Amino acid sequence: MRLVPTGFPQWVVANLKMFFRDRGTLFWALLFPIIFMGLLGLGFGRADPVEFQVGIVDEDQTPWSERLWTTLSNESLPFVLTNYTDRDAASAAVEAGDLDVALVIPSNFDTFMANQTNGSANETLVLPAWFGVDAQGSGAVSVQALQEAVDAFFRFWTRSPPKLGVGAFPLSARNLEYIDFLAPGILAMSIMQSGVYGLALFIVTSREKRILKRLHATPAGAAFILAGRIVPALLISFIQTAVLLSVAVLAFGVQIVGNLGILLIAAGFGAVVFISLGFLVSSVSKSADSAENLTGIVTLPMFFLGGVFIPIDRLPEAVQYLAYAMPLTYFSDAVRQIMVNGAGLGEVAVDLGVLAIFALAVFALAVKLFRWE
Amino acid sequence: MADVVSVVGLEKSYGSLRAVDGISFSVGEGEIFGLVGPNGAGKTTTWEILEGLRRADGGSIQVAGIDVRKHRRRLRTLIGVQLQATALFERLTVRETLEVFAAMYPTRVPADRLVKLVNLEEKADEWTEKLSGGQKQRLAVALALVNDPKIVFLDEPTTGLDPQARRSLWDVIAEFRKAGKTVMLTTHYMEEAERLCDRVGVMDRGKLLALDRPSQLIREMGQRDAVEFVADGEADAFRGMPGVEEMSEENGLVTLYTRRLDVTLPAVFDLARQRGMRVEDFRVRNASLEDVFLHLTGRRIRE
Repeated sequence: MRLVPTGFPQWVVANLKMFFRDRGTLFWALLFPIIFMGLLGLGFGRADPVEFQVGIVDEDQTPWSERLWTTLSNESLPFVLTNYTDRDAASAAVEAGDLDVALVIPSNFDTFMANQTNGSANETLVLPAWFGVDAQGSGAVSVQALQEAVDAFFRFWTRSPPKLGVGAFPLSARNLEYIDFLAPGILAMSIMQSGVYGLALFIVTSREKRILKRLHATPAGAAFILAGRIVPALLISFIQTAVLLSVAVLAFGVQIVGNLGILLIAAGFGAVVFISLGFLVSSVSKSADSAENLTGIVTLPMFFLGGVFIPIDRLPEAVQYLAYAMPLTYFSDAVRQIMVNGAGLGEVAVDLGVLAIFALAVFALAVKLFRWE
Repeated sequence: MADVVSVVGLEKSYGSLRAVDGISFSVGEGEIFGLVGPNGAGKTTTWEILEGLRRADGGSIQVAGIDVRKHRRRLRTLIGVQLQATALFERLTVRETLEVFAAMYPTRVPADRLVKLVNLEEKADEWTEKLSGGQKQRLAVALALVNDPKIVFLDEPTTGLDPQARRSLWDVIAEFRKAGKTVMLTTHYMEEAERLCDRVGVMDRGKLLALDRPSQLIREMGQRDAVEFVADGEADAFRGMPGVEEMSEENGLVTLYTRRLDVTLPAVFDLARQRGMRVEDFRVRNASLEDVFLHLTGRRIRE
């Protein structure tokens, strides 16, 4: 056996030509996801946050710190409070963009408040805080809102002008918007769509028109024919990745934190999974129509539940189980971890492992069910 | 002449349907061999078994010296195939189509030569979706030649074509003979088989009813003439007429076979006048393969 069978390069080139001569495919593979990203990104990306994420480091742990906590968690205030055990963790969360502001209640808070309510002291106390500096300025706004809430707290308990300050230090924070969540999702979704459709429709229409049968009459085997089609499908996935990332970065200001090489590796894993899935769809479909329907049945739930638009943990619990049975969930998570959190291969190994197992199982089944006519 | 195809006791069933029912024949090198018969006769199944696309249930099949049931992959490098009603890749040009198929074989014929052979020079760089039906068929036939095969299988290559396109394809197939190729052809056009084939097998319901040169098949029916007309009355009345050896009637079309035109013709008109029947579309012709089929099966091949 030769390493590359006779005629394989020509067969690959022919498939590439066919692919790029089909405008419809190009539209769905490249233009549609960009339009989609644009519409959703512009629609949701710049929305003002109605709530501030506030991290509290309670070093005081007394009834007084508890009272302040209670005041801040009042429903009329725009704060969502999270407890942090130390200052480092809280400031890191601000930098990562998870918190708008982190507030420390120092250990002398109890003494200070006790003295103030006795009217015996004239000193002031500054509560250390960190806020994220980002394009939206929600960090700075949240500091102001905190100061007002703290003033109200002080006035309520002491009946005297505020002597309690919020000493805020700015931190350069990641400016995470919906588009940052969305862009990796759209990328994953596009690779899914073109992978599943690309192979499924090619095989089914070729079978329906008896082109597969004609190819079967040549010395080329099934592996040859399919591989020749998979190469352009993989290539288009990489082109999609490059184009969508460029648009995301240049037009929507999305930051890619992770390594591009690792991102491409993940894209390859995803492409292989969804190409296999398309292959399976083609193996069980009798006609082009049924293949198209089945492709929709397979991809639509993933489209909505696979972590493209909505984080999995915001789904109802029962639906989460369903989501975790879908390959897109793992793929979009891997892409997002790499793009947003700069995850390395080790950190997405579980995702990629699940994808690999999925691909193997689906591909094996598809080969078993493959028919020439 | 050495046999390049040898089939003994070939059988193939689909469920309870015996698609090919124990047929045997052999084909010599350089022959144009035809199978004629109606749709569903088993022609295509036979060809596809010989091409290694289907497995036979029984029988022994040698094609180009290869046991088809054992070495299908090797067989495919040696034969050329045009399948019934196959489409082409719409977004490849004629030349690209020929080249990509040729590339799959160890032996390759340059695309230009094939383009010329099937008269598609003007369309060589057009996408195949822009070709007419006849042009597509010619390309499909050219595809059967990309590996310079010794044996070419053509399955109803002219079905669905207009008469002019059909004739132009006949010219192409006639060229194959000059190139020394063995051509295996199925058709349900009797005229096509008569015109092209050295020998013809008449097939119906999975069985080979007769196999010989077209002229010999016709001669075996006797040197008969066919008298055809449409009568509007009781057609059976013509059966016992002078000189008539055999008669068939289908949808009002009466065919009488006779060796004595001189007695049969006047008798037909006499009878018609006596019974007050109208006789239309009257013609007398030499017996053809069509009549052989009718003789063998009692039915006409419908197009």
